[in-house]
Amino acid sequence: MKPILHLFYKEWIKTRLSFICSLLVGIGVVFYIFMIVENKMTLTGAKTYTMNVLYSNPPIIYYSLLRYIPILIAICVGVSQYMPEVVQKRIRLTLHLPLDNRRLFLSMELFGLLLITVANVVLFSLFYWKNHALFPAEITHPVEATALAWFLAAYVAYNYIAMTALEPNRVRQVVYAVTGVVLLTLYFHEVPFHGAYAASTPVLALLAVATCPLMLFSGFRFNKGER
Amino acid sequence: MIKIVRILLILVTIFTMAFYLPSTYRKAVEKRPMKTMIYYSEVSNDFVIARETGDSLDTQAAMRYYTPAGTQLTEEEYMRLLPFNNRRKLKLMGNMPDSLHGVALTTDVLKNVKRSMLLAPRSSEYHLYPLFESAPERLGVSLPDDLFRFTGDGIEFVDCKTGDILAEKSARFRSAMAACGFTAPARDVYGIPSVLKRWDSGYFVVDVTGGLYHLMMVKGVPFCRKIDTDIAIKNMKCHTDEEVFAHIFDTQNRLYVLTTDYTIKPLETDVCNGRFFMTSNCFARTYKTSEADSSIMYVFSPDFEPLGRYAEVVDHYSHTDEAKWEQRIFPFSVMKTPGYAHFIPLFNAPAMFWLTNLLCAILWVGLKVYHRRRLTRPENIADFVVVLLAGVYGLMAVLLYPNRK
Repeated sequence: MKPILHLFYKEWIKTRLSFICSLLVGIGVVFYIFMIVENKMTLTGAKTYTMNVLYSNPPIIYYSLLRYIPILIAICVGVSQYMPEVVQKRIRLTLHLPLDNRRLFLSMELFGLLLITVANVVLFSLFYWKNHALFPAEITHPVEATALAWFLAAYVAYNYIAMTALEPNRVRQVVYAVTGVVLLTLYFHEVPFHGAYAASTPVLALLAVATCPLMLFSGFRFNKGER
Repeated sequence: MIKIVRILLILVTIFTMAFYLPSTYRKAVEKRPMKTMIYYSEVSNDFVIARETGDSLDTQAAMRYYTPAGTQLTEEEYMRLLPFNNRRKLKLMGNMPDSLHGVALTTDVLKNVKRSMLLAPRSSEYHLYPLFESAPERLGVSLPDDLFRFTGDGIEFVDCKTGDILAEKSARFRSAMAACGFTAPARDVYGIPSVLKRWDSGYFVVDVTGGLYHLMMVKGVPFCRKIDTDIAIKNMKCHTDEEVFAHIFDTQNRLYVLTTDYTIKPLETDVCNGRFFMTSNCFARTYKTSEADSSIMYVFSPDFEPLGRYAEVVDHYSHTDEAKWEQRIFPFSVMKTPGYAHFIPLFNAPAMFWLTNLLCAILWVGLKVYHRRRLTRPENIADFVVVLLAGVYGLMAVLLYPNRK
């Protein structure tokens, strides 16, 4: 257990700056979203704004700024965690740590996923709290169902960054990156009404879970010295 | 472990390709279909068909007009037969008739044309509605300060600003509804929750027993009326109309109309696909629907007596060679329903794609033989099965993520 904690500390040193900065941006965006909502409620009246959120055609998607925040955090964490080591070829030193390589790769990924989960929980809790303070449950529940897909996308983005970074073959790196981007587009369709994506969230969650161990594939190839 | 990861990679890739490749193929090859439109002439009391003979985006006057008997009409004859559709042009040409079947064609009569899309599946619902004043002192509809919802106890009004429950108003409406026989909670609520309407006709509420009730607020007082019906209601499309409250779809997608005298009349339409485009004027009501290969129009009198039906074969992508090639190339596709964003798999008939899948499998075997790989290894057998089942997707996925020792 101890070597894993040491590895976690090593990963924390690499990622802490980008993680904390991106999380602060995310928190700022959530507060900004509801600052705009409160401003609109003051200017147009709560009943008019609530009606526009419910029945405008298209409805006001007041939370659309939140859409790319979780994925931004995932990209920051993923890039800061893997890119410097891979580009400077220091990742080979990590493989010489007294830890089974598979456990090592999984621990590195687990750390990244933990950071993303912490960020997601913080942002979603803040969003939930402000949302429920301003709107009735008939609005908040569908809104949260829609936003959930964006939080799930963060895991897919991180997993594909990890997988692409560890892939030793440049051409395959491009292929993985393209596949990842194409897969991510499934999470970012237009929102025609609150509650969109709710029906497809189980499939999107399943896809996110399925991408979790993908890093092992390129990690295995990296370890074997594939070209 | 690594083999499981590879299987996951292949499955994720197949899913993604099944979502994007067929739609990309379609966007690359799809041609604009020739339009065929059916109209009902209030002048001749017969149908008029407009067919596109060339691409009307490029060619001038590519529309040709016909009677159901096949007689070709000139553009002027076509316009004269449809004065409601061509009101402006006929007036400019000085050909607008003063009256039709003894009814003066005044501006009010000509403008009183209603068009509406009637859909059996419900769109998204938030279960929170504004109850407008149906008999306001000023003309028009104004927004109330509260919204209502239905709970297990009955109707409940929520203040928009504070989020508080308005206990007195809720109790007043609850007792009025209970007096009508309404049993909480409500199963469905139908209405027009918008101020952009000429007047308010309230809401139609289906209670937990399936009973239909009309709910309004008249001078601040609750109005509730039970509507006698044994229809299993699937959806209602409400209108702001002097004669019609709403169109009703039952669970079999049969269409009914609820008139303002609380009579429910079935509309005799033999296609129950749950999609109609309705138009009405003071002479006729038409309901147009589309099947896979045809467009069908039903015509009713203003009091909903059937007057006629006409079907016309229409041009559609599914009839083209490109669509057949799509079915030959791709064994299945995944799509998202518009709006609801469900993922739905659409499988093609195996008779269409078996040859492509077989060719992919042969190609895969050829590559393995060329690289001197043993075909009897379990992972190779699994790959072969994947390629045989998923065809193009499977071949691309197993090549993208190769099997290594």
